[in-house]
Amino acid sequence: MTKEAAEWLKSLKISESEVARGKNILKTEVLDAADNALCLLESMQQQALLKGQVSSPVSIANAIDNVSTSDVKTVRISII
Amino acid sequence: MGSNLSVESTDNANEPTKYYAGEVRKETTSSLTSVAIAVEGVSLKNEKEALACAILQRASGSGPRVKWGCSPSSLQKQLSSIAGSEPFGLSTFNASYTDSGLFGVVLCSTSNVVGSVSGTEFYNYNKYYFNINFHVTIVDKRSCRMVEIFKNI
Repeated sequence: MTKEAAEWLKSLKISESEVARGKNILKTEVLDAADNALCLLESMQQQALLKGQVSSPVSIANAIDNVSTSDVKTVRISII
Repeated sequence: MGSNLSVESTDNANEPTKYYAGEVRKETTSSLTSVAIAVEGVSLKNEKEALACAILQRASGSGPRVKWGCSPSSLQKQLSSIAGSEPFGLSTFNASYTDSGLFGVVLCSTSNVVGSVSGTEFYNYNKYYFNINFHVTIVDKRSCRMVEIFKNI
C-alpha cells in the first residue's frame, strides 16, 4: 500500500469534484476560525508578521475560490 | 525582571531551512503499522500556491467529515480496496512555513497490507520517509536537504 501512496504523491491524481470539495473544506476552516475571536487575532498576528499585511477572512475565502483545478493539480511539491 | 536577561535586540537574517531526505523509525508492540511519507511542500511565499497545496491536502483525503462516515476521496477508495477487510486509515497532511513546507500522506494498517517501501524504485525520489511502527523498512539513500521543522504526526 505504501507503494501506491508514493505513486499517488508522484502523480497527484485528483478530480474536479474533489478539488471543489477541498476548496469548501478549506473555506469552512478559514471562516470558522474567523468566528473565534482568539483564532482571528492569532491569524492576524501571524499574517502581519509573516506576510507583512493582513487579509480579511472573506478575501482569503475569495482567493480560495479563485484557485483553479489545474493550479491544484500542478502544485510544485518536490518529488524528484 | 526582564531587564536582567542579556538578550540582544538585533535582527538576525534567517537562513532558509534546508530540506533533506531521511528516515525515522520507531518500534512499538502495536499490531498496526503506520507509515508517513513526506516530500518538500510549498512555502507561504507564494500565497496562491500555498492555498492550492492546502486545497490539495483537503481534497485528497483528510478523513471523513461526518462521524462514522466514509471519506469520498479517490485515494482513500484506491487504498482501502487494497486493504480489503483489514483495518485501514489514511490522511494527507500539509504544513506550510515561510521558507519551506512539508506535504505527505500518513497510512495506518496491518503490516502485511502496508508493505515495505524498500525497493529500487524509491531511489529515484527525493523523499522523506518516517517509519512510525516497525515492520516497514524504508530506503532512501539519496541525500537531500533536511526539513528542520518536522512536527509530530
